Amino acid sequence: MTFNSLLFIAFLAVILGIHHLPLPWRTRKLNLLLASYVFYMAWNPPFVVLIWISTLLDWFLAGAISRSESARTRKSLLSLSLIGNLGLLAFFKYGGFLLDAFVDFASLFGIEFHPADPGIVLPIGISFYTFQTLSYTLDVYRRRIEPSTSFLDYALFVTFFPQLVAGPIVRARQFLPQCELPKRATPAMLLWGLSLLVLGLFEKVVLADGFLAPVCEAIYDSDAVPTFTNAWLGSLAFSGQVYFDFAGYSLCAIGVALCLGFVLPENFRSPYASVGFAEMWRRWHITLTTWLRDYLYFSLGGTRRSLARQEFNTLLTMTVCGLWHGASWNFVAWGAFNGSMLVAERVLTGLVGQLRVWQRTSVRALLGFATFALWTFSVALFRASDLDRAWTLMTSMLGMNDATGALPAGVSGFDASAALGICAAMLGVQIALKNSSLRSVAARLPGWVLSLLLATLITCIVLMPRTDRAFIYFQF
Amino acid sequence: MALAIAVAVATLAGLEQFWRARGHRPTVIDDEALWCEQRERVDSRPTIALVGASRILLATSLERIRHRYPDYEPVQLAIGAKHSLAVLRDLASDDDFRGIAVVSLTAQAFEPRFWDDQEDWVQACRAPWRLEQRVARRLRTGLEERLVVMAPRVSLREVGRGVFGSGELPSPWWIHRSADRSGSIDYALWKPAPAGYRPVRRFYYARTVSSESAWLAASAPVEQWIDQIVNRGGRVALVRLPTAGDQWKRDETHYPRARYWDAFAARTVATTFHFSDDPRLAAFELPDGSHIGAGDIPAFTDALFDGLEARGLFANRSNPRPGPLRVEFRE
Repeated sequence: MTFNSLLFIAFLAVILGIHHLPLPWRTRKLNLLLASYVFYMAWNPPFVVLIWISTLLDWFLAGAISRSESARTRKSLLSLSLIGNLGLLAFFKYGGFLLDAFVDFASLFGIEFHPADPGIVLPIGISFYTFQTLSYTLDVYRRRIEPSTSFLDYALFVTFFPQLVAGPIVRARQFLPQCELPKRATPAMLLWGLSLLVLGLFEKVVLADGFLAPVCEAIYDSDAVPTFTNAWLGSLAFSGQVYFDFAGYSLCAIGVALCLGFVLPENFRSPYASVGFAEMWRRWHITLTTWLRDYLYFSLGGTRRSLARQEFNTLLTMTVCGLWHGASWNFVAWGAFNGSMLVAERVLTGLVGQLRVWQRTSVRALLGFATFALWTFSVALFRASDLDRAWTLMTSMLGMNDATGALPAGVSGFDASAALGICAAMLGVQIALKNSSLRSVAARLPGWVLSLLLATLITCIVLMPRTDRAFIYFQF
Repeated sequence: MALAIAVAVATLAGLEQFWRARGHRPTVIDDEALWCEQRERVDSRPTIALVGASRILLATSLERIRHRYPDYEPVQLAIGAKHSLAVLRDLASDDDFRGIAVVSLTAQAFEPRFWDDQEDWVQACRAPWRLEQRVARRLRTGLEERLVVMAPRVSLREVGRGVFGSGELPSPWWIHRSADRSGSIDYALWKPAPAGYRPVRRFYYARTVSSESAWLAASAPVEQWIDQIVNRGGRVALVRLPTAGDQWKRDETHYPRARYWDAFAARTVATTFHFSDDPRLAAFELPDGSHIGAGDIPAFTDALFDGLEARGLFANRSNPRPGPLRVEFRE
């Protein structure tokens, strides 16, 4: 079930109604758990079994880890959890990719191998809930948290529908304490939650799907070699689309959770106002970045190793980050590109970072612009259907293709102007909100202004033609 | 939030009135999910499945068919702007289908490169067709049937394109669609296709014409699909609906009826019906050269099915295929 469907609005109304009935807290949690399974099963019922496997596996293993005093046993139990969870992820998400890679590798040695299409269906949200359950077991193993004493609370942590299929990736220590005391949203929480839901839907339905996706698709999904201008226009549109799509989903998730009385962590904090890739990744998909930092980068040695090893670890972590986004060489390359940017930035900062010139506003603005331009350049790897198409787009953006022509078919002057205008506004708003928050801005607005703004957003959402574009991050 | 919702509802109500006053009316957005709803209605019950593209989609009244044949359930499976053989192939592979397939097509549709034109919709329906999609589609259809503001024609993007492009608000759209996927054209609102469209079509034809022998040889699988349906008690009618003016001239130039259509008709077990054999069908006005107007739909439906009845589509048949032609074909 997607947030941008009428069905979800009806579903939410029912769940909110039940959640606010004078029922025992345990009954209301059970309602949320069942609702979460229904939410997931609306996509493909049999795949809920995978969530149950993941839930049960880590419930029992984390409990056993906690009870065990033997380091060896604890490590073995953790390995079981890693093999179980990552094995499921590897099979369902990377099975086809690994098979293709093997076939390509074999062909290098003249071995022609033509396996049958494995026909593996990617279970929606598997990357998200796998990381969530893994973090629980890893935290218990590292003795950062005690295992939950309530299976209901733990199952709800794994399955909580607002963030089940596309994050934010929640940690047990953030969620489980919220299950202990009865939760019911206060009127202020309900109002703010619904406001975030409306804003998230506006970002997804109107900005991402309504205005930016058509421009991006016309350029990326065509076979034609784009002009320099069109390549940048398409990539800029996708930079905006992927932000509004995913940040929009996160806002919806946070808003829906808030309506139920739960607080989820922030996932985006004005990432396009960043100066440098390090800051960008502290502001973009924060819950994934911190997960990779805590459980992968630090496990590889973090900053305790030599400088060269640190840079290698950064590169490796970001490549895994790319691969997490999708089972294709495009995502591997995209992750490696971002890792390279982080390494280059750290090296340059070490060499010339102490110079005062970097603190000048104009220079920081230029660096911010360069960061966004490089990010936009890199999204060609993310969005293109394959590496060949990504290469075509990137060489066009570098002016290396001599294609000429006007706007691509299906994109009017208005479409292009609207896409550029939306991206400019997006940058302006993010720069303005860089050291602030939506909540603080909203708090300063009179109630009637906020109401008019929300009314405008709701009207715009209704006035967009319906599409069946799923959220981009559902595929991850 | 209550104030915001009230203001939004009031604004949308105002817009609804505004667009209605300008002649817009609600229309259902056709998509794979709506098609799947109709495809699911094709089962072992007596069904008349209408297959084809926009010509049959915008020219037949399901109500009229239901009235003529109360024992059959008519289902609109035509998909606009795409050649129709993928849907015929899909019906052929469906053992439940024992009804009547009325397939609107041109000789060009037999070119194998066009067989998969409608396959993406067929596949979308074969993939797990989820409860979520069904309910969401029903909810959407309910709103789209009733509200102009749900129509793509008056979406923010279209309004922006109109205002900033031509300096005008979008005019009412001339094609209307219903929840059962039937459609109609209001030629009072029609605007001819923009310049540049026709040369593209000429180029399109020039690239795709096979010699008649190659064309006939390549159409063998189509014959097999028809056989599959007929052998389990179903029937198939291949109809060539009217075209006029340049459209008809181009069709005849590239696929002369006598060498293509008639050649296939001579050897198929399907009932075939070419509009030029029927003065009633040929007499309908086609302002765009390809589609009739909304007012003619009931009369056109009657003319089409009268013609099919006259050609024995609904008659009892024990051995529909003429023997010698079958032998010749198998050789």
